[in-house]
This record gives sequence, C-alpha cells and structure tokens, in this order.
Amino acid sequence: MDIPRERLLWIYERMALIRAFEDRVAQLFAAGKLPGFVHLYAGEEAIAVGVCAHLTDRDFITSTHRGHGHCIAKGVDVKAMMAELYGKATGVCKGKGGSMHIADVDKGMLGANGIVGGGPPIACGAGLTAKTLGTDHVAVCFFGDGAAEQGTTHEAMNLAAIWKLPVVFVCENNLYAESTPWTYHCAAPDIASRAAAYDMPGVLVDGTDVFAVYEAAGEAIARARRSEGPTLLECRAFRYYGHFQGDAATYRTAEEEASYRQRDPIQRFRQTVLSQGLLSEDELDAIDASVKRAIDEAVEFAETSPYPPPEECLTDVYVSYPAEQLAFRH
Amino acid sequence: MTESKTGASVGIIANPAAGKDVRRLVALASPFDNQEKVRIVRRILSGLAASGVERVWYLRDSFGIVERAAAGLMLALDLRPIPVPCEFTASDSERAATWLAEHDVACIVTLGGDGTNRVVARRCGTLPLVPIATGTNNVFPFFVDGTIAGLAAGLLATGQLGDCLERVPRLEVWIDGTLVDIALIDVAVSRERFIGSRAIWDPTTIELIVVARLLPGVIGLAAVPAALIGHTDEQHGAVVELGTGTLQVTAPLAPGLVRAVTVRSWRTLPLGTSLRIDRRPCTLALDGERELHVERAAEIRVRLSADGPFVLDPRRAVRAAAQRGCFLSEQ
Repeated sequence: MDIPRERLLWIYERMALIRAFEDRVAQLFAAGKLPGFVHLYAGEEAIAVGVCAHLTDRDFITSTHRGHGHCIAKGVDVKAMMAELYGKATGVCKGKGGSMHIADVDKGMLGANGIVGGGPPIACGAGLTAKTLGTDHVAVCFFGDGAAEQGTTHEAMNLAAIWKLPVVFVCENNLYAESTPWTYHCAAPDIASRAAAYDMPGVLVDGTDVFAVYEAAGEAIARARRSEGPTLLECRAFRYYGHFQGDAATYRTAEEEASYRQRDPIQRFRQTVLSQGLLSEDELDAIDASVKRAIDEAVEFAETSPYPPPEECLTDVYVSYPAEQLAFRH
Repeated sequence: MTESKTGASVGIIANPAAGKDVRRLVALASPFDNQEKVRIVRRILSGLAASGVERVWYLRDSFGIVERAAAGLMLALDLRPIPVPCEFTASDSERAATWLAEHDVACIVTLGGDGTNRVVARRCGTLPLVPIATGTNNVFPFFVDGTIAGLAAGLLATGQLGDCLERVPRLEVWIDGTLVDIALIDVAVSRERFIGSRAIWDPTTIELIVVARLLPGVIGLAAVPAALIGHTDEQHGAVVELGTGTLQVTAPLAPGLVRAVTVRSWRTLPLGTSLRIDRRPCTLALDGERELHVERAAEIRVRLSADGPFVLDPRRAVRAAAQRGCFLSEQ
C-alpha cells in the first residue's frame, strides 16, 4: 500500500478539520448558540477519512445522525455546514436541515439521517443508479452498531448482495448504541461475520488506525468498482463525546474514556508519518493552524449570516408538484 | 477414565478477532464467526470435564466466548477469569499468557490462527499450548474438534499422558541487540511502508521470507519455501530471497490466493543461525501479519531458535492415551 505525500497531507487535514469542527460545535452548543441536537464524531475521524480518501464527488455516501465527519471527509464546505447548524440561510440546506439532515448532492453526500438504519436502503438506491447507468461509481453506507440491528440494514445488505450492487457497508462500531453497550443489544456481537449470511466479504478493521481503514476500504471500493459486489467493513472506534451533546454518558467509566484517548487516530497518524519522515512537524502544525482559522471563519460566517425569511418555510422542503396537482391534492 | 491427579487446571485463550481480517476481501478466506468459537469452547469444556480437570482459567474477551460457552452447560468445572486487565486488544492475550505461565496451570488451549498463537507464545514460556485453528492462516494450530482438544488438554493436565509434547522452533527478531518479537512460522521482509490492515498478501512487496520449519500443505508465505525446497529435518528452517530470477514458484499465499513468485535465491537455515536484514526502511511481517516498521539506523537480525513453545498435538495425545488404556474402566 502506497499513499502519496499529497494524500497523506489531505488525510491529516481532513481528520484535523473534523476534530476542530466537532470540538468547536461542542463549545457552541454548550453556549446555547446552536438549535436542535448535535451528535459529535470526534474520535472516529479515521473511518470517514480513510474511506472517503478513495471516493470522488461522483461517488455517493449515506450517513447517520452523527454525520459531520462524513460530510467533511466527502468535501462538504465547513462554512456552509456551520451555517446549517446555526439554522442560517447560507447553510448547506438553507438552514432547514440542521445537524442531522445535512445533504450536498453535488459532493455525493446523500444526507445525514436522523433515522437509525435509514441510510442502508438509500445506499442501495444509489448503488442501483450507478449500476443501471453503467458507471463505475460506488455508494458507501456509513451506519452504527445500533443500526446494525435494524431490519433495514439487513434488507439492504441482502438486496445489495443479490443484485451485486456497488455498495460498501461501513459499520462504525463505537461500542454503544446511544447508551446501550453493543455486547448487550447484539445477540452475537460480531458484526463483520454477518456478511457471510449475505455471501459478501466481511472484514474487521481497527477504526482508530487510518492506514488500516484506508487499505481495507480501498480494496472494498475497488471491488465494488469492478462490479464484484458489496462488502461489509466493521470499523471499531470510540466516540469521545456522549451520544448527543448534553448526554452525561454515565454508562461509561472515566477509565474507559481515558483508554480511548490513548488510541487517538490523529495522534497515531502523526506518530507514524513523523517517525518515518514522511511529513514534517512543521507541515502538520501548519495544517493545525489553517484548520483553526477555517473553523474561526466558519463560525463568523455562520453568525453573521441571515436566517431564512419566514416565507421560505416550505420551499425546498417538499417535492415541487405542478400547480394543478397541488390544487387537486388540496 | 483412569485415576488422575486432582486439582488440575487448564487455561483458555480464545481470540474473538481471529479469522476476520482483510484476507476475506483480498483473498477467499472464510469468516470465522465467534458463535462457532463458542461452540468449540463448549466442546473443549466437555472434554476437559470428562478428563478430570477441575479448574479452567479463561481470558475475558469482548464477545464473551467462554462465558457464553459455559452458560447452560452443567459441568463440574470451576471457571474463573484470568485476573488481568482487559483492553480487548492483543495485549490481553500476552498478559493472560504471562499470568498462566506463573501459576499452577498445566497448559493453554488457544483458539486462533498463527497470529494469535504467536502472541501467546511470546509469554507462555515452557507452558504447553494446545492450539485449535480458528484463524486465517493456520499453519501452527491444529484443525481438530474441540472435544478432542479438550480431552487431550485434560489428559495432560491430569497427568495421564506420557511424553507427548513437542518443542517447536521459533524465529526471533533482534533489533539493535534486543529481542523484540518472535514468529512461529515465518518472518517476511517487506517494502510496505505501513502496518495498515496487517495481513500481507502481495508478493511483489516482499523481499525475503524466513521460515522456522518446512511444512507440507501449508498456506501463507511459508508455502513458498515449502514448494521450493520440500522437506528438511527439524534442525533446519529456510530462507528465500524474492526478486529478479529465472525460477518461479507457484504457492498458495492466502486461502484461495495462488500466485507465482519469482525467486532469486534460497537455502536452508540451520537451527541457531542468525541472519542479518539489510533492507531499510522495511516492514517485518510475522506469521503473515505486518508488525514492525524499522527505520534506517537499526540493526535487524532474525535468528532461528530452538526455544519455541511446547505443543500438544491433540490427536497424538488421544492416541497415546488410548494405548495406555486411559479411556477404559471396569463396569
């Protein structure tokens, strides 16, 4: 596995940007500046970035309620994301989606999703689109260990397998579905092995190691592009914050949370590239500084942006039916 | 069963991560699901109980393999978790092996592949292993039913076996004069930059393969020297240098992945010999998994040593027990 230097820089910049975005959102939410709920991705950066490093804007991803990291890894603009969280008109979805419904089709980001297990069927639709059109585009479906127990996820994996759809199912197993340990909610807590039931490869990956994710995801995505069918990757990682901001996370011990930090994906990346002399400390520090500036600018942009006017409440929300059909429906 | 010593204890280390790596994607390896490991452990426990073992020390794991296996079993076994901190990483197996080696335990039954057994063998000292194959490349462990493995381990623990143990060689990796790791089957020197998803399957990235033993019918990098040299006595391993040459060797490098590799040179390696590795930087793959990345300054040596673990072959053990009448009793 070779990773070009430019790609290494991109990987670090994206992981650092996700971390900085989430840490700032945590502060903003605590200060009462953000409406709605936010579910933060800090600690899981290696998964989104390691996977999306192989994707283009023409490839699709589906996301979860914890979708900020997926958006950033897929290239969605952080200014527009921050504005979306503020509910401003300059947001990715004009402020009407909020944290859990960020979508940017131009970037192949088909949407964060408040429905647990809502993404897998959509990913199958995206995969079917690529297959029908005869492109080599792929759909990546991010979902959590909670969604792994949903019927929609299993139906989607079955469908993707029988139709050999170019879909890569990426289970982000952060060990807790909301507050429930996966060893409790999962009868046989071994998600990767479930792939055998759908005659697809299933692989367990260290989701705190971006190099491991990058390599396994690269193989799975290449397989999908070759029309060889879907793959299931189970990436184990940890979320640093609670299920949502405000969650006291009493279901985890302080020791457990501290142990997560010892395997921090960003620090592991730094250690690897610095010890091998692939990147320099100055380069990484410069990225940290530019990321901080980008987040500062995003917050300023969001705070100075206008709210959408009241008359736009219903625009872009429902399908635009022809006037006569609307009249009939009413 | 015949009379046996009382108070016999056995350890179990079952790796829930074994049999799930990227070789399911880049080769045709099967997933080894953890529920099957539970069923295997149930049969092990039955075998242990039948042979008179009283106590089983087990490593707690993220899946709860042994706890799940014991649930509902009505066996007269005292099951206890090994009192070591569990992070649910490979380090747990090392700590468990260390603890077992320091206590009055007769042997360790392992469930995993070559990688799992390598980790246990780093710390088990002279405590025998009864390895059961549940991994991807399974050169070291035995494909054997858990019942037989349990019976064999139990017969050993209760003192009903004669001399059935075999001490196997190991490859030692010395960096700057310090023993840093071991391998039970093979060490490969790779040009790979990153440890990544660990498994190694692309022969074009490999410069050198050192094997501890030449074994027929194996899968993995050890299949290259096995196909090239065939068989040697127990006093020799082998070294194969890959690269430009006129000879190609076709070998199964992973399950379902048969590749022709070009060989530059090869030779046998006598026990006790140390080999210097000059490639820098390089990644060392131990028993099929990338483990160590080494930068320029370090001196690397790979030594074929006779100090590997003691191993109990379950089938041989049960056959020997039958010859001794261990399974006979008066009605």
